[in-house]
Amino acid sequence: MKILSIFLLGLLVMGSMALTGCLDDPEETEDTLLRMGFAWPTEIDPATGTDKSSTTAFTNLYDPLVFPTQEGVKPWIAEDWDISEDGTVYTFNIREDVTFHSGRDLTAEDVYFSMERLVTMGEGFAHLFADYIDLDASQVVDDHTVEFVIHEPRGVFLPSLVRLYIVDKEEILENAVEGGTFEYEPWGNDLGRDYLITNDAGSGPYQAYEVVVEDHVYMRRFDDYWGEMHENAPDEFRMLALGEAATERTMFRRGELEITSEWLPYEQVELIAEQEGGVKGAYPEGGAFFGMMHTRKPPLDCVHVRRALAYAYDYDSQIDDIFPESELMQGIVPVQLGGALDLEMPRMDREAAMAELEQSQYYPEIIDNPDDYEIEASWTGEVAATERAASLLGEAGDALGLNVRIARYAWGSLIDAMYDEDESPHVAMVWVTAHYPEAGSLLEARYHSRNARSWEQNEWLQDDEIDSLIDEALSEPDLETRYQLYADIQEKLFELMPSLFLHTQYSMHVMQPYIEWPHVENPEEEALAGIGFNIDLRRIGVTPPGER
Amino acid sequence: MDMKRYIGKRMFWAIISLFGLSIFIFYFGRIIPGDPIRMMVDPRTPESVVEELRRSLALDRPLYTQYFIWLSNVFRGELGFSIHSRRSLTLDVREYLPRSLELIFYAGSVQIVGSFLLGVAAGSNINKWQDHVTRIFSYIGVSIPAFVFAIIFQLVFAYQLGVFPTGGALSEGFSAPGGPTGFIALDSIIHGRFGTLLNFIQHATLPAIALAIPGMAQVTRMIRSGMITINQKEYIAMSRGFGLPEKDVRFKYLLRPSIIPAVTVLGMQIAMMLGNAFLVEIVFRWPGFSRFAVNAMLRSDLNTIVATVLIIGLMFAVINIVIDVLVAYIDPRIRFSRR
Repeated sequence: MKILSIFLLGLLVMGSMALTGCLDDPEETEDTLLRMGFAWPTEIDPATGTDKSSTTAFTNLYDPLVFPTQEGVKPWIAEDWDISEDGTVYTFNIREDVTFHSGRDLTAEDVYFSMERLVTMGEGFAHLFADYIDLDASQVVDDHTVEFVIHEPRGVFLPSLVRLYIVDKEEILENAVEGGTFEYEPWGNDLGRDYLITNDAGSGPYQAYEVVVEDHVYMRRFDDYWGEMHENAPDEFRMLALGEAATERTMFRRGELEITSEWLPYEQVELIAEQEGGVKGAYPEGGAFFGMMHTRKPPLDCVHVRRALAYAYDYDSQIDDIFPESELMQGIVPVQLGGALDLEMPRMDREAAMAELEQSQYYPEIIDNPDDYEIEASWTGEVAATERAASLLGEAGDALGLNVRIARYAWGSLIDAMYDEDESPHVAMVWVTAHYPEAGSLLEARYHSRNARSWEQNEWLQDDEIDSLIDEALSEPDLETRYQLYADIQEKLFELMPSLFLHTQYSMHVMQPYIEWPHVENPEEEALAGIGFNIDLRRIGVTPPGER
Repeated sequence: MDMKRYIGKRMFWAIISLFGLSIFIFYFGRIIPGDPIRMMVDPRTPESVVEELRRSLALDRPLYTQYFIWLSNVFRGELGFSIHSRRSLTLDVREYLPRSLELIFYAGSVQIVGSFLLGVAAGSNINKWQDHVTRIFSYIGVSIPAFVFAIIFQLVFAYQLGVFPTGGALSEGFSAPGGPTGFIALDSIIHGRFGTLLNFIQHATLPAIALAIPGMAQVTRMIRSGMITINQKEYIAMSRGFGLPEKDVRFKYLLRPSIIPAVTVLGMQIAMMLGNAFLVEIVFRWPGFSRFAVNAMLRSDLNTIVATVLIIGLMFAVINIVIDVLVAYIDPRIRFSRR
């Protein structure tokens, strides 16, 4: 009874406070918001993250040295550049009207420091530069000129610079921590690593003002931004850690979410679009879904067995039933990437598949005793759709009389397995995305031997000819010649058929009808091949509430 | 005096258990599949950088060395580096644990009040409508997991009716009071921000009820059964025979011994909420420790795995001690048996 009395008394006190106006009210705001769901983690330090939510944060908090386009790259923080005749010295002229969020001017010193910091820390996109840049020879020429020297010619150095996000040197060094878990030489501190977990040091169109790891990143529009913005660019961009369909649907209905996250099951996307009045849309980002076949494990060490599976797979069902907004691949890499080659890719043709199988060194034993030639097709437990994709491979195997066993792997276990040639499954179904908008980015990640021990490869191709062709192409400064070299590599890979080229990945969202998002509305003309560049708030409009 | 010695003894064993638990979980945490460094960095990161990171985080040392480094850090109040959040785990615990504890406090209160009210109602009205309703509630509550209730509540009260918020701890426009305790409810009271307090309670209501129901259903049944069993004792019939008021018989002689096993289970249920709250926190976007911990575990974040298990272990140890004291208070036989 006593407890009940206290409880009732509490309610009475609260009620009276509410009636007498003693309660603090929420801060009212007229700002337009863009709230969007993302899969966590979101790292806002451009020297550590590379995933979708992190790169989206970079696009809006930072400015890269050059910006990707559908044709290549365009001037951005670097307003123009010169490349020496031998292709090893890049001189960049830096814009003079760029201000960091701290209020300091962006200078060539910051550009040099951004490269130095990225390479010193070695994570994130550092792999694009670390082995090639000669930092000792590179220099700041004056306040607005920086010279980067590379050890040997590398044609893809320039497009790779879309991933050199410029950070505020002074801001970082002022907030660097000494004596922590990380200490980088010769700096003797963590190069702002800890600080940039919850703060930004950029010059981008938005400025982070509240970061709760695992929950949200809130950004406010930066008033002194130098670049052009959409006339209705939102005042605030809020990246929310979401992923539960019921939650997103409820938030969308109540107007608490402008754009859903991209990993919702397709059925949910359709429901939200149809029943909540959302607009469905998707865009490609230079990524693709591969069935990576272990080319050194019998029976997949035989190209005819690999081709047989490639012809037996039901590509249309994969698109119709599992990944409806994606597109069948037209080549070895997505067509959005510079230098992608259109090829006559395998489509389901069970007769052609059987004909290939009959040419195999394992035929007819592989049909007579299929258990002796078991093919393990792995799928990732965390992504339900991969099970359905793997099941289609199982069906393809059944149609040919092969024994394709579907095996579930936890993502951690799959990574462990894929780092070991013997432990790797026969087939791993994984998405891989380009880091810069050229075919070379994906070709190197997917087929060069130096990346064989990685979850982006399960083929264990380790082909010297392919390696040297990729190296030659990446070094080639002339764009046309480089694209021709990419084409040669793609033709050779087509012959080897080391992978099932399943689909070009499209990121799919549902947005409120008052959102203008050109990359989704017109992906063919607007979408950029490079993870994170398509959620660019400079170009997204949110109609103000009074005008909807 | 005896009770103090008893509590001291229990605390000593709790510390020994936690120490043993730390060795156990430290070892087993490290044999979970998934190289934590490989899961932390981009797959194109060169091997040399991966090895350097492994060295920085002492993951290249023998297991016993790693353990002693970790233990010495713990004694300095530092729980280690979280691969998931990429910062000190102490900061993460400070940020997320209060949110989960607040939710558990709320859910625990709902569970205690609800199970006692329903249990007594059922136990005092055997085979009447109160008993039937409670039985149906119990069957539903025990057989459906908390996260399903979370989704149902969200769909009904947030999606359809719109009377409760969808998720989070506070609505847009409200901000956490910012200290001194880190608990939003408590800090709101300290700062006199009662609007924030009400808003917080509004946000915590649905997840707390969803979290409370399964345990509440189980404990309700226990109280009911306890009351039926005790009701058949001779001393109860005798009390009624002597003409004692029914209120006294019911609450003093019948309920008190009936709730002893229920109190023990209730305590364990509340302690388990810290680990079980994960999916409820996901559904309601509750920025709590369970959500953080499970996501960190999926990325093989070793230090977080150890810290989480230890925190849950600590919670069990503390609640166990509290329950023992409470049971001794309720049941004089236990008190006297220790003398």
